[in-house]
Amino acid sequence: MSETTLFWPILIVFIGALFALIIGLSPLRQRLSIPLFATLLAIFSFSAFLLDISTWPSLNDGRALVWQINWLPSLGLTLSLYYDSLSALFVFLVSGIGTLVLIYAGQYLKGDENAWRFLHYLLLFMGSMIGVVMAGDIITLFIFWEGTSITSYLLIAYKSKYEEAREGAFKALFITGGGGIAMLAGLLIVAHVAGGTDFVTILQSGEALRNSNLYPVMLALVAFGAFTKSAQFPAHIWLPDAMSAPTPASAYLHSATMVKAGIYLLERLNPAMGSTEAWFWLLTLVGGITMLTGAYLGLKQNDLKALLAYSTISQLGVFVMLIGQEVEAAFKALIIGILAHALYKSALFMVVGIVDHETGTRNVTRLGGLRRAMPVSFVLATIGALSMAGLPPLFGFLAKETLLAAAVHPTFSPLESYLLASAIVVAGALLLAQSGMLVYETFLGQAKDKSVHAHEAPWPMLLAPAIPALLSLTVSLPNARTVEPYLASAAANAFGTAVKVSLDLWTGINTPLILSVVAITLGSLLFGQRAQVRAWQNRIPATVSFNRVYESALRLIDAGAYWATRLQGGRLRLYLAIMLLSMVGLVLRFGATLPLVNLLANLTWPTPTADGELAILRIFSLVFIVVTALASVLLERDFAAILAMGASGLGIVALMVLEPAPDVALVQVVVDILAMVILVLALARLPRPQRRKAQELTLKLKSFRPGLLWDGFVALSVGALVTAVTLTALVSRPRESLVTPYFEENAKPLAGATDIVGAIIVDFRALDTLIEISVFGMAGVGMYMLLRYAARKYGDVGAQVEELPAPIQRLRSRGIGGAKTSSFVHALAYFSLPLALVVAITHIMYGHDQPGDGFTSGVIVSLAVGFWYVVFGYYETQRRLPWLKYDAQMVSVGLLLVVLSGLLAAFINGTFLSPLNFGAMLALPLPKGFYLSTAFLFEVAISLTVVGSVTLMLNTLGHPGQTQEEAKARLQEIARLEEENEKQAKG
Amino acid sequence: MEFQVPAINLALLSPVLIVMVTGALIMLLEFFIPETRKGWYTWLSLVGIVLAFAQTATMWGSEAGTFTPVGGQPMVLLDNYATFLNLIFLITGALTILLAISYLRRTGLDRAEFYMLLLFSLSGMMLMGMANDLILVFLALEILSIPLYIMAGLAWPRGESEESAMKYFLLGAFSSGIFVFGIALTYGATGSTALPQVLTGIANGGALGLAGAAFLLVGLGFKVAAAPFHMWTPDVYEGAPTIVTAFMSVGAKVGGFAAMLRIFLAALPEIGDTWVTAVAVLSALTLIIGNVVAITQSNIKRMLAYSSIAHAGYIMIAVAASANSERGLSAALFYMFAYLFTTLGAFAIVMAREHQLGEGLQLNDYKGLARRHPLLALVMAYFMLSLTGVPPTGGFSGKFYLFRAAIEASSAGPDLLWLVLIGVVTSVISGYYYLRLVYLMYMTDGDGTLVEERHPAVVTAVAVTVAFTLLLGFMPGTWFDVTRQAVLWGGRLLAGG
Repeated sequence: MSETTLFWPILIVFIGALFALIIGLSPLRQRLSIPLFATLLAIFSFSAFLLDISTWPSLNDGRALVWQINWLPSLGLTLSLYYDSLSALFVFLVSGIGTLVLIYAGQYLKGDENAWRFLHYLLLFMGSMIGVVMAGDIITLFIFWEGTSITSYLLIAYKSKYEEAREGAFKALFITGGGGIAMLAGLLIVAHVAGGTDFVTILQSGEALRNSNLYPVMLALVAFGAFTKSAQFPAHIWLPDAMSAPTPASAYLHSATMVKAGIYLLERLNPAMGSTEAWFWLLTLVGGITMLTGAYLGLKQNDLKALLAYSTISQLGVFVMLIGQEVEAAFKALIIGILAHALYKSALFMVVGIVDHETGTRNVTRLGGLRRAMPVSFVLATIGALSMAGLPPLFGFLAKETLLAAAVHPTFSPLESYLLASAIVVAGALLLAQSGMLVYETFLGQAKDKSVHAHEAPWPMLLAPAIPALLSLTVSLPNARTVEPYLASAAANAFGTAVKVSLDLWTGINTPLILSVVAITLGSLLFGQRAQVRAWQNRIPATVSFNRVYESALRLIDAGAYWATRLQGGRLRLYLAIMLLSMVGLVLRFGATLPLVNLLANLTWPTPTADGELAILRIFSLVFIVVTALASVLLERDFAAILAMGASGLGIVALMVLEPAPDVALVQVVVDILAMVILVLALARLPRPQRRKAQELTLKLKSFRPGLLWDGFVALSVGALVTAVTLTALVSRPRESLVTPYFEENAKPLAGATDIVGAIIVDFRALDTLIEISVFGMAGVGMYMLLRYAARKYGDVGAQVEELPAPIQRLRSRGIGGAKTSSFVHALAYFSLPLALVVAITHIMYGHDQPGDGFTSGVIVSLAVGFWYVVFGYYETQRRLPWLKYDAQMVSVGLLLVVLSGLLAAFINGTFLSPLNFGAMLALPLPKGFYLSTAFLFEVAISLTVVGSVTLMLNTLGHPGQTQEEAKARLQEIARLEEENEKQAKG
Repeated sequence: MEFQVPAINLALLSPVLIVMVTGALIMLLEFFIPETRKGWYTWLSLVGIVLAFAQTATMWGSEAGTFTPVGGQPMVLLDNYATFLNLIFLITGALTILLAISYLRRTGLDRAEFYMLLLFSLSGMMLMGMANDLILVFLALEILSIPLYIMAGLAWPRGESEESAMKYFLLGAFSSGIFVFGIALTYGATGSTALPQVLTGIANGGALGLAGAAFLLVGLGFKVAAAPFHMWTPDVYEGAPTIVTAFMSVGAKVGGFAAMLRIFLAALPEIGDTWVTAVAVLSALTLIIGNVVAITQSNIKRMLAYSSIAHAGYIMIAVAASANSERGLSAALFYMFAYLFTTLGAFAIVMAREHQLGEGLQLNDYKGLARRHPLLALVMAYFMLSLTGVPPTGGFSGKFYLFRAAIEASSAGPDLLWLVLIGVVTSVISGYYYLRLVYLMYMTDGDGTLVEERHPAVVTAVAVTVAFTLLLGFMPGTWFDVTRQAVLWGGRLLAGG
């Protein structure tokens, strides 16, 4: 491979994954036996392997190949790969062991219908893993990193019908995926400080990184990501549970690959971020504790895979500890250790898988004496176990020797050396005991459970573990030393400067050798006394189990989700309370509380004076407003409450009249009354029992309960805030308005209006008015749509009103709700409508100069119509005022009229909605003060829209035939449609 | 008599007017065309939107204000910012209509009023981006909202739909009140509601101006569903007919942001740092709440509701960045542009899967979809990837762009790096719920029927959304340039002279 072809190993493996998917989804799968299929797939990973070993030698001078493409140039985003001896070592393991595991998996899963899926996931994992160790920038690294988390989830949960498989998989994903997010956050900080996301830049910025204020943060985050992935204490708890994966996955992920990703990351960053006190202590302590914990817990296990998992944890602890050191020897030990561990651990996992496969159990209390039935497995297991135990002449021995040599390195203080060495000796002894147990309890002695039958596995299945097991031995061969420079180069990449690596097994009698002998002796003792030791271990209750922490974290998340759901339970009151309290918080935090408080504190309260003739009236109306508003809340009868609210609105009218603001007062008074009429009509629609129930409910709410305190709190805090802000607004006045003087000056000269409000509505802010009336129209349409549409569509009486015979209509000529109305009231109604029309027309004609406008005129007409509804009832009103049924059309004609008159003006005057006086243009004889202008048309349009919209509301609310029937009809219709749909789907 | 009131440039307003008039025409014609004849309103509204679109497209590059009182400030602005947003709204409207045709027919909701309401709401959205005066913003907000309240309740008398409309209306009315209060305070502090005049006055407005701005933020925060003012969203989204949910989740949100950005940049730079921090805090809350709670949802509409909350959080990162980085504004626009296609596309698939009212909407209903409907599943998976922000999708380009803008803004103003970090981490968290759907579709077996959705309009709409999500993923460059040209005009410029 050269720099430009670096992507091939990753690509080839992903092509293999694609190939697996295509075959798996196509009928071809039926013709292909699983072992053959797996072997075919192994070709892909083997090609990656070949590419790797062909390039490795060229990297011995410590250089790195970098490949990058401008992936999305417009984002300035590059995708890059970084490949040096360290990467090469890992690619070697990932693709090499991957090839063997694929072949092994083919045998292991023979007869499994869905095996292709497993193989597919395995290749996806392999591609991601190669991606992790070849990533050239942090984004690429992160994507592949999470890719391994997700694919490992799929692999562990492969036997998804078992709950423990699902839970184990989830635990692995939760911990490693979460760690990945932390790592990303940390790496982003690293990139920010280094000034680039690629490793080339990051590795050159070691100085800046170590001196940065953010160093502790990034170290903690990155290390956390690496520790979770590499099963460091206390995040190690996922690894034993992940043993529910099919054994090929365990052999692959949990020995040589995924769990080494964290180690790889730390090695990669060591030259830039290492060699600090924090780095040393963090890695040494965490690694050391992990080493001891894993070794100790491993001896307790009965399950062979669990035993291997714990010994893996222990070994990973060793690696982390080594990366923390600042000496060359440590990195020599590290690289040898990684290689040795990958070889013997994958072999052991595969052998255990064979045992499990052939006997149906991997529990040491049931196995035993298998050496006769499974001789080859026995030999392979023994080699692997000897290496794990660190006995000569195996690779494991060499690894341990170098490790001990690193521990007693002269740069350490005697105390450090002593502690390190003894920890390693203890852990080594424990591992040796476990290795012995693994071989002895499984293959030697007598069969403990007679029901367990065994026979040797087929040779291809044995081949896979045989290769790494034998490679563990090759270190004792003379020509093994040819790989020394490769390993030295990898170690140098991790250490930062050159490292000498020698694979000499015999280095003379020195401290490491003596320590090794101590460890072996101690281990043999432990092995001999294993029954007692294990019994003793089981007596000590596991007081601190981090599984409990994990479980409580999950419970916490569940509880959080529960509370979030509770909060989101559809209770409007709660929503509102949260919204309002947040608003209070936001305004207090960002609305400059301090000036607000200062202002209020220094407030000179104005002394109330009763000067002026109208002051008393003002005070009276203010008191009136407050009292009636309170009453509207406290009154129990709905009708009375509405009246009180209306009265409160009228109080505001009084205030406005006193201002004096006749226009605004006029609008307010008509709108207030209209709102009341609509509310009363709406109330009348509700069935009596329902109203009574609501009333009872209100009564119940008024009695004291704890919730009331909360509601009171919310109300008081919002009220206090609004009061404070309003008070501030009042005292910081007068700030002269920029708007009012402008309108005062210009209403007459520019718009020809002496009534400012009139000018504002149709001239100065004509566009606003157009939108306003659209809003008003929408409100009417809305009410109609929500309440009435279904009625008209699904057989409601109102729609057939004209077809009813006359006598019946007379009979129904009663007031709303069937109430009798006196002839005096009738007469009043007859009189009011024409009067209202006259008032309305005057308003429209002279709105420009006098108080009143199209809006008030529309509301006045609507009020008269509303009165008719109350007096004559729905049917009679509809009969006598047939134009009422053109409700929506009035709205639309009104809107269109505005636009049309605006367009007319646009064509003549050049600007849209500008005033245009046709009367003057055409020299029509018109009464004084009335202009036939676009303003007039505009007023008419507004009035029309308002009448239309209110009529829509009245037609809807005044309609008597609105009951549950409509709803039923609608639901039937839905059912019918669904039936039809189903029929169509079938046909 | 010669009058001289504010001149209104018809050309500038014509897109809005076309949409509005089409709505009014539908209302009028509905009376004359028998109910048995259906479909005419669909075509009429599409024609209206296309006309408005064509008119808007010709305005790209022109900058003008209109509706200017003598010596005053224009109340309506048409700059590239507004034009670009108008294009977003019109595309949203057109795609919604395309998707609505068969959905409404299927669910028995096929009525002219739906289209009328949609058009009026659309006109409000367009005005949100054009308004240069707080009063006009409020009116636009109302004309945008009221039809939506009604549309949410369209599936009457289905309980959830009714409830959805009721909740939306009540809380919406409250937030409108808060917004008006904010306008009143701002007016009190500055003496004007015109944004350029607010700009010059707010620095002297003291506490009052800040409080006013905070209330404005609350009102708009509700519209865009930013936490903690998001509480209504899941209930309303779930209850409303799915087509309305789709329209709402894009239109109303982008509408809210249109006004928020304009107000922020044209009126409030003087109190910029306070606003940036406030927006950043809300953004962080929104990101965390939206993304974390989405994980536990089992109903797809609810999940998408939380997802839309989360996306509001991302857009708010860009809003916060826009104060101190030129890229902030264009990042927000680009993000919304990408969001529009991805979200509408995802909802299109949801609608295809929803075989009866409210059925087929559980995540579990998507099990094994890949085997039975490979293309549908593939498209859905792609949209999920885009929502997560995985390259190469429009969602990724959008996120990348806005994160970069925020980093850039940090060097000139308040630090936003922490917000970027939260944004990145929550994006990864969002992968868990988006990809879970992909996992369910591809890796599990399931059964269930599917509405045979082969309506050409739906196919067209889905094709458009896929095409744009791909385009924005693979070649975001041209669109970056477009959004970079879509800058505000008027704000600072007019303040000086």
